[in-house]
Amino acid sequence: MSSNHKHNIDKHSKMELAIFNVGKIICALKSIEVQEIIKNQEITTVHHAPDYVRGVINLRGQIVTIISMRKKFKMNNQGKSASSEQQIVIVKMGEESVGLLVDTVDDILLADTDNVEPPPSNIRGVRGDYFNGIFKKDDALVAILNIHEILTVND
Amino acid sequence: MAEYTGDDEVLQIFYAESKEHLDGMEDDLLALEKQGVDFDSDLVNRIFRAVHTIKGGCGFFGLEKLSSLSHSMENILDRIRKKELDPNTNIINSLLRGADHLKGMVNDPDSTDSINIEPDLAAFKKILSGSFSKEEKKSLKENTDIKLPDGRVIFTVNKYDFERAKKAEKGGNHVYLIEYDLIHDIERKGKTPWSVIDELLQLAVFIDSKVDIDGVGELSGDGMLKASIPFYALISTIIETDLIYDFLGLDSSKVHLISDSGEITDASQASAQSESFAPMPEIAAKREEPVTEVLPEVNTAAPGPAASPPPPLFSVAEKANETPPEIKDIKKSAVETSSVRVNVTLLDKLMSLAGELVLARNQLIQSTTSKEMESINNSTQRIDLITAELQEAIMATRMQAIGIVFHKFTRIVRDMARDLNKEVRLVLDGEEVELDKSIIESIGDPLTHLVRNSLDHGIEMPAIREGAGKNKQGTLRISAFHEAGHVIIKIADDGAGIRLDKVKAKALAQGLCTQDQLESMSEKEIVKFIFRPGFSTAEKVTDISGRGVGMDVVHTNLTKLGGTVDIDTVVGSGTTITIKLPLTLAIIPSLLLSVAAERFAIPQVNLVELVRISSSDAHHKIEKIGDAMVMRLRGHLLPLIKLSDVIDDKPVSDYKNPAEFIGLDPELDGTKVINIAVVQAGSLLYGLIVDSLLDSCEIVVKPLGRHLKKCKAYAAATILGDGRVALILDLIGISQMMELTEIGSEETEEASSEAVVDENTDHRDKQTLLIVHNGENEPFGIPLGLVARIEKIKSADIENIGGRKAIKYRDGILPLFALEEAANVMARGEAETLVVVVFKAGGREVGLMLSDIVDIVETDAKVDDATYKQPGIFGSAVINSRITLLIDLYGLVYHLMPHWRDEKGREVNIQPETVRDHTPTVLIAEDSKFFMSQLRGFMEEAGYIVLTAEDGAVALNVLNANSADVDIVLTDIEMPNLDGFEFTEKARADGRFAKLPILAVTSIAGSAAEMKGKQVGLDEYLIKLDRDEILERCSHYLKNGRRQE
Repeated sequence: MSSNHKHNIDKHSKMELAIFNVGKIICALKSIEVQEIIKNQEITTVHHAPDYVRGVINLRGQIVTIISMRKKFKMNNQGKSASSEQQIVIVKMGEESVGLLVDTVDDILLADTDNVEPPPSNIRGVRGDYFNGIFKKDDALVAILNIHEILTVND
Repeated sequence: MAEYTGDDEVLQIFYAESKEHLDGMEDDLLALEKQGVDFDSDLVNRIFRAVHTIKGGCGFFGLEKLSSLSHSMENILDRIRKKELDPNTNIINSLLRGADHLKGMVNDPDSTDSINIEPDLAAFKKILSGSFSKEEKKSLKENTDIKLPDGRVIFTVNKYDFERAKKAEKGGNHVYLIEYDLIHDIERKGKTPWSVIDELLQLAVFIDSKVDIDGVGELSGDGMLKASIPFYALISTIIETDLIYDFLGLDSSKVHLISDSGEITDASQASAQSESFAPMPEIAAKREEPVTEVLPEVNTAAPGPAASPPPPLFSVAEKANETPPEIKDIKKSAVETSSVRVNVTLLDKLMSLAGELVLARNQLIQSTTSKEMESINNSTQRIDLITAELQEAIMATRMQAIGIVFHKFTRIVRDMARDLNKEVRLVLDGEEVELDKSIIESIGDPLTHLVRNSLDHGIEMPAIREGAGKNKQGTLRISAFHEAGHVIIKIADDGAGIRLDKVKAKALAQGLCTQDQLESMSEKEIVKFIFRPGFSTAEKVTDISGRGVGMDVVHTNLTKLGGTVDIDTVVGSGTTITIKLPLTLAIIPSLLLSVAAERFAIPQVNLVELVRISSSDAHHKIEKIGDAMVMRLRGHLLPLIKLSDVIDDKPVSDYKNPAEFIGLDPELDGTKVINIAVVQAGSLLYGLIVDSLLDSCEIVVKPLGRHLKKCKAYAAATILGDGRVALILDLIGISQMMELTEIGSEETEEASSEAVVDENTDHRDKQTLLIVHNGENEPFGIPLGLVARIEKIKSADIENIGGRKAIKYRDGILPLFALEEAANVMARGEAETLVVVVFKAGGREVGLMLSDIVDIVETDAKVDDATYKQPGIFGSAVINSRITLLIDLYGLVYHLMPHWRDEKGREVNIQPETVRDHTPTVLIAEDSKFFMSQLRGFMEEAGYIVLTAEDGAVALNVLNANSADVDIVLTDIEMPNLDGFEFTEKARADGRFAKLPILAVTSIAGSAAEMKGKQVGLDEYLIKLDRDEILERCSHYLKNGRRQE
């Protein structure tokens, strides 16, 4: 990963973001929230789990729950080719690591906090409270995930 | 309530420390009670110091309630210590209650407001005033105000406390009022309030302490505290004025000498060393000396390592050399659940192992770079070794002595015995046995419940015990020991034992089983009924053990831990409950199994046995009862579920019949087998059908994440050798999901009643035969369903009446027949006694004389109804690898008494005129060839034209094809494809068959089945092979038609 950006992390006005795609939405997570990114993991299905839970994996001896971001965003699987590489963004919530299954991980970039705007009530049909804000990267809009909201266990 | 909240962490430390003091206190108080007047003064000193330390700390944090309670307890303890008060039961009770309340406030500070300590204070006051001399009483009322230099009253101390402090162990004639500033003197010097108190306690006795809230400096503009938070302590010590500043490291202006009258005599002026504020290091150095002088005193006062209060957490480093922390001290860590105390040597070992691991890793990296195979192998081996050792060492950190749990029973037993007016001696054994921390934490409640039960229901009242010739004091023995990789805990009382008759009566009353089932159960099995939900044999639910949690909860909880429970009871001499627990929950032996491509693990403790049946057998062995699929396993009905259905969330009730449930075609998949894991979930036993059974192995249990907490089907997960994850099934959760119920509860009540009937005549291909001998060693079979009774008679009682043998039987005469009279078989030998099989034939009861009853067998053996057919024998079958002739009871009797059949025939004869002018036609639907041939035989014999169908679906076709001809239908209930109920329902739906009599011939009786039968339109239930009855009812229906509703 492009580490040349990392030195600027302390700048108040800038934040480092990991960019990835979920369907047509370009999402981002603050890189300090990301523990690691893995791919090609064999996922064990857990029946009776909430529908957005894709399964569990073994991450160096730890059982990590994998949340399908497409399912969480209530997207269908359209436009996802079978061969498309799926990657898992591991985030930490308290003591527990949770994996987010995303389509592709793109880049790491520095975003100017001044350019971040509050999210609209929905982004391409996805609930707005899953996002902390939105900012413009070149021509595209990048939605910054509210990881807390996404990892909330709903009943 | 004003609290010093400046430093939350320090407050937490205070609570943690207090907790440790309080944990040991209960045991100490109980020990004190036991010792009575001749108590060990070290013991009292220890309790006293614990309370005193807590009191000292309270002042700092403004915890008034805690402070006043500990203060009054301290007063009592002081008097005991000085032998001015005897520690009688009453006083100990009050102290225990006080300690409980202290504990309550310390464990849950938020609850402080809700705890009412007034009764405690009143009780202590009463105890105290009873022990006072006149003078002291007077001194209690004399209050001395201690004023600050500025004239404000900071403490009001009564003279008693004042004087007492002076006479105390470390107290002395000098009473000082010390003023600390929490900011300047404590925080800024890198100390904590607690360390200051500790320091003070080393050299002085606290009389009172307080944070002066009124004296807190005002907030300055920038929101920072400008001035100070004054903390005052009133202490009594032997240390002279000129030394006290040095010891405390305080400016002389902060220490005031208090005269007897409570006046401040300015100590600073009396001191030669005024105004000098020595730099810290020097003070620390100076301080060291007297502290170490005092310390030995503390240590000698504490007898034995087990009881010495551990050094405060944060000062461990400072004192580590003098008092090595007693890590394994079981009494201390009882309350803390989220942290573990680890022996330093163990920690050292872990450290060195980690170091070795790092070295081995480096070696491995080096060897991989150099690509030397030999050296790679070496380092791999080393890593393997270290990992194993590391795992072992880490597991050891989780082990805790069971004494932590055992110890609380001292108090529980004492209190309960008192409340119940019973005398109980508690014997604890094996307190040092270690178990995994998580198990230790979870067994407390179940064990407590068992102990309560033993005391409440087990041990009798002293008078009763004496009456029974027992020691009036009951004994409760709780012991733990290792056995074959498990820990065994026994709770044994020498009480009344469990009355089996009561358990039986209750089990029957609650419909948990039938009388027949009870008779076949062992005593152990019967006793286990007490683990069923809602089961209690106590006539009245007492407040003591009847707390809403039953033994079923105990059982479930222990099972969850992978444990088993066993009860041994002897009426009159006591009950022993044996609990078997695994050493650890982190690594468990388990069985791996698979469904489709998925692998799952089930804990070996839940596994009872593995059953494998061929799919052709499965169709006979698996039955549908109610909404459940069951299999008979050695006389018990075992509910079955498929793991694949658990995964797909498909309820068992979705299946129409067993064939659909099994899902295999007996013809095509005849060679396939069905794997059933018989598992124990709580008190429920059930069978889990899986695709294949893989392997048994030890697995490391890993918790599942928060998102999966609601999945009832899984207990945890594990990582298999190939690195993939497998889920560990929660067998109790699965049984709840699939709504499995125990045999005996509502749904399966039906099942169990059927089970009894099944014992007699099994439906489908199987049938139950009574195996008998007539001549020597020649076996015969009699369909058990036809047997009314079996009697044993003396041959001398047999009379010859009218050329026929008979015996007086009940109020009449029982004609007796012998097999050899009709059939060509060996004759019965002479014997003193013989057995008579009583059955009904020709409208009366008759008996068949035989020499011996051999066995009752359930068989699906093929019946050969040609080779040996003769009067009295309808065929033969190979049973237990012997050719067995099957006795035709009716044929035998009618052969010998042809006129009986004629008599009967007149009743049951078909009267053709009633059914138009043709021979009546009967349709028989029956899947068992044996029963079919029997039914067909006697129906044809009676003159019917018989149409047959081997299941409901075929029967429906036959009926449709012969709609005009069929006059009556006899149908089995349990049939493949379409059962008797469904067949009847479908037939009745067709208008043509509305008036057609349809009779069930079955072994399933019972009101539920009959109700269902009525609903779908069955006219009557008849027992298979009850030839006379069947013929009679058929004739009745042909004559009268269907009963009009």
